[in-house]
Amino acid sequence: MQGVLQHWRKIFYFVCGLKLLAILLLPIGGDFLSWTFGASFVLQTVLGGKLPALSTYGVYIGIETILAPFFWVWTILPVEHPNLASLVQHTPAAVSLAVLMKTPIFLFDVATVILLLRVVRHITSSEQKSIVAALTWFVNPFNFYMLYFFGAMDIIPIAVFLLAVDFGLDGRWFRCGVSTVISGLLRLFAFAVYPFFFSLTKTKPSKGNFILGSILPLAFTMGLLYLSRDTLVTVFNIPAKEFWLLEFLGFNILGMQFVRWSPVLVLGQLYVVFRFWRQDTNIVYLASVSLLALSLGATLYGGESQHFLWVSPLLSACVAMRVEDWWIYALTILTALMAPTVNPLYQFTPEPIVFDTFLAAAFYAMKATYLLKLNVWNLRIAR
Amino acid sequence: MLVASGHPPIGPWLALYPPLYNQTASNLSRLQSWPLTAYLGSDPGLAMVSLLFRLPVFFFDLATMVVLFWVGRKMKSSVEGRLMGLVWFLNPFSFFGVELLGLPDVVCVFLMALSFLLLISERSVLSAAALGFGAFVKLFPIFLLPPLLVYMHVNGERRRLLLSAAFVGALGFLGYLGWVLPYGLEYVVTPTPVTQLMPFIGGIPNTVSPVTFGLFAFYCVLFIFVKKPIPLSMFLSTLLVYYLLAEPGPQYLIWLLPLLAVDVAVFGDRLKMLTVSALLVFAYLQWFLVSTAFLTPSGYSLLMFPLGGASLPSYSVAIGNFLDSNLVGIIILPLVSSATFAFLLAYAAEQVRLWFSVPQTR
Repeated sequence: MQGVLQHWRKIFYFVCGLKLLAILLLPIGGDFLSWTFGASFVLQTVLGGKLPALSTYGVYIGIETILAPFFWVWTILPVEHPNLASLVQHTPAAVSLAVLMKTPIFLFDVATVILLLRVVRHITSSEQKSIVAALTWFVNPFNFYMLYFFGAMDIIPIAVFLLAVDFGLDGRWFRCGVSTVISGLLRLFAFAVYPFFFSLTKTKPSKGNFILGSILPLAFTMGLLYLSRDTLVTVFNIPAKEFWLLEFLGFNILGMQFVRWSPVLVLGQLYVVFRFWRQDTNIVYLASVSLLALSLGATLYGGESQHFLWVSPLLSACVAMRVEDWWIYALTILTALMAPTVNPLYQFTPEPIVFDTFLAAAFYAMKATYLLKLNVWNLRIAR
Repeated sequence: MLVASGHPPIGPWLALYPPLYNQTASNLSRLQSWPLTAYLGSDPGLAMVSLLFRLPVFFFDLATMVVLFWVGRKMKSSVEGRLMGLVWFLNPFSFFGVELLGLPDVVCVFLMALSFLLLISERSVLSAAALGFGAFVKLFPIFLLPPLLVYMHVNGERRRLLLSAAFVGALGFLGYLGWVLPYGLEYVVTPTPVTQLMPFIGGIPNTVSPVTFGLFAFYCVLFIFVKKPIPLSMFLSTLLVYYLLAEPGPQYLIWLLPLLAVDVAVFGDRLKMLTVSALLVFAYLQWFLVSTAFLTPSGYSLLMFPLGGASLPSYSVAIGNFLDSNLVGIIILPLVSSATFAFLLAYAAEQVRLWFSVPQTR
């Protein structure tokens, strides 16, 4: 261990302290309020003796259900419980609510660190590299902003997804299938990775285990759908309610009515993996390219930085595995941080409209470069 | 459709259009007045008319299978020949398109397969003539004339033969124009099942048509890079590029099927099999979705279940609800169409890859 890395524990505890302080001091805003409202509605439904229905809560139902117990704890705390719409910041009620609703973020943030340590150590057999991965995730200002300022609850499915990566590395395909699908049910992105993971299952038993593991949470979800009296028509009509789902399809190619950029890019990447990649590639690279392709294919809303959070831990693992290419990682994170929808300084920029396209394009270019680089590293002819 | 347009059926499509499921009273009376059915009297019966009008396409379906058998024999052995023939003949895609829907494209498909057989038999001018005939019937085979000429050039064939091939090919195209142009620009600027010029030459005024530009650029790239006689790859990549640029609709994938059968039977590795299977499955699914489960004017799906009218069975209602849902219209259909496009792209990349490193036989 050399340089700053030998003090990694001190750094970790220091950043932990900073994050806890942020939880206490930062006001509730951004997506926090939406999630808190969602969790409160789910709690009301459950306390009313019913199961939350997909028709009411849409695709956010999974994460909101996970958050509901934290909201319930707040409701039994000996503090005032004002209406959420009229919550005054920095009052005991607001601070206690912030602490409770941000606790899952902190827990899953730390879980992500642990999983990154495990995954990179498994691949590289190097403690130093695993620490690089963990620290580039945990000390990363982009992640800090998205999680503790903005309140991106994506960290929950992301940690579950990393668990799937870990299981995949261990060859435990049943658990990998379960985790991938659970992550996908919480936030759809993990489904884009599914065929890439499937390509790693080389034997019939592993394929079977992976498929069986995937079916299990799906069957469970179908059962819940049935019990909550949702119908298939409800499921069919979700896209009308969740417009952001469509943004992930990307723009129309060559003016064709139904051919959209995002699925073409992801499937094109799948073809490149099958045709040109080395057989001994690892699951982290596969997960990275699939999610990067998805992130590149999506139009501005879908491709915005919030969803880049999914790629961020994987790129931390990638940079740890190839430290010599750190500059691509650094530039990608920098442009992600400067991207128009995230940049904390954006509102103070003199002419936002001038910089808008420039910053968005820079971020897009860095994502494309990273995708290209990952492909080059894994080509059969590459050393 | 042509009949319904008010014009009499034109050109060689006299006996083949409209598809028989389109049985409006006026269409039926027109069908009965056509030379092929006129001798049957004033009321030949639907079954007889149906049989008579399906016989030609069935004949060309069989003929395509036979041609493919000979292609296989020529390229490798009769085992591969049989396999090619069966990949074509037993394919649900061609069965549905030809026998059920009555796509007359099978005539051009047969001529294209014949052209390929003649080409690998070193009968280049006859091959061009077959393409010319194909273009006379429907435009798309003309797209294969440039790669055929490039093939002849690369194969070191004499310039006189090259010119002859170009001439007979162009003659077919002139023939096509000969039966289209008497109707003015109607069949040139209106996309119809018969006249497919529109995607190639049409477009927004004062802009560069991506299809025209793409095909011309592709031909130039083909000429520059292909230095080996690889007819299958040249034909396949040309059609694939046309599909990718023009999006002619999933049913027209039938043009590709014979060449695809040749490729799979002779050169199919695991990845190619997967790509081709995925391509056909997604194209079929796309076809199912864009045609509302293959709905016919009678209210029945061509898959033999009712979709219109009163007291529908529950499964028909369920299918109807599913097809009408937002999930299909704005998520599944784009996903399926994009998947078809992606697999076409991957397959095209496979073919173009062969330009640079291929065995001589291709």
